[in-house]
Amino acid sequence: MSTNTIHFLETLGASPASADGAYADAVAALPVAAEQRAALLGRDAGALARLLEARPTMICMVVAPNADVPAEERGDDDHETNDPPIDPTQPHAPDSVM
Amino acid sequence: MSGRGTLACVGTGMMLGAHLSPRARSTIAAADVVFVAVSDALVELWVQGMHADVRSLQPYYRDGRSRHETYRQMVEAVLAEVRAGRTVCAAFYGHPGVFAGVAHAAIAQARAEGHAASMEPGISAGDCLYADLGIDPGALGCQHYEASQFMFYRRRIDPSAYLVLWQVGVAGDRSAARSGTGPGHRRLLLGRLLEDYPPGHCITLYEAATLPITTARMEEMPLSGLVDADLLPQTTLVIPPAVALKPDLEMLDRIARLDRAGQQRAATATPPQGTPHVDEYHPFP
Repeated sequence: MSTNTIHFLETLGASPASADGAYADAVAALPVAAEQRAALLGRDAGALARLLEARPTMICMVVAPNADVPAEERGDDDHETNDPPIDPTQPHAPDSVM
Repeated sequence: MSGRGTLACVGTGMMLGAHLSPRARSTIAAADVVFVAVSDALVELWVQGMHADVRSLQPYYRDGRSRHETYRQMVEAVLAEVRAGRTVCAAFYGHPGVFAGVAHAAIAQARAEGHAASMEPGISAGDCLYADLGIDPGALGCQHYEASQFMFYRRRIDPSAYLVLWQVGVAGDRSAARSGTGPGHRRLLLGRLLEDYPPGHCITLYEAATLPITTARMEEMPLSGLVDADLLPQTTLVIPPAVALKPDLEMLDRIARLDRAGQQRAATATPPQGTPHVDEYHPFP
């Protein structure tokens, strides 16, 4: 169950770092599906998120600069590279964030 | 139901399970409705498990939409519940008000409309940065800027202090609608930084860990490597001091003269009869 996994992560987050052996034993004892256990043992956050059906894409920017300067144009003004726009429909594995 | 609602904006900290304060947790639990804007999908699941009515603010982000509009819609979504007379909690990753404008805007609007609103501090990515990189901002000083704002406006940089640029992955984006900017924008940023730092100056790309099963990104490289570095929206650029502190000799001289004048006054002052003399400069002989 996802609640068991999330609760395990919460407990882990609140505890001092433990030795790898203790971590593996704790994961082995969890009442979770084999796939989740494998993701935890592999410390694979992306796989874990997919298995728990978490939101596929997360945007982590909650601030935008106050650009009061005149904007010549909106849109792609970088002609040397293709800059990707935000696409929340595309899968995005959770990652360490700001 | 309508009338006077309340709004409390709290921070979940950066890491699942590690940084949520007791006050933030109890505020979430006691709310009628919780809005959440966190950076990790598993953290969002964690918050959703704390309350029966947790509403993600993620759907307000849209491909090609300016984040200014996104944030405006987020604020309206939160305020709608406050105006309905509910006890509202808005939970943001890290600290709700550090390089995060939505909570500040929501609180200001709520108060302007006569509702009680407050912010609880949280552990920000910057706090994690200090801990992970072993930086005391008080030792040499630390300047923090949003990377694009740093490019849009002239700032006076002190290269004898730390310089931290947030959201460097979208540096130079005037539309506020991109998830990343490319080498062209980074060359412009690099050019600006080269005014104060040499190209070989060692910098760090930092991303705080959000899960106890992951580790923080702390990638060192020369400043010149910024153009081709792998930058994400959550990447923070840390530039350590490049020069030693420069004494302000004129100020130090003024302070010395002031101190001498004070000592002379203390030496010549006549205390009231019966009052023990206290040397303010040497109170403990």
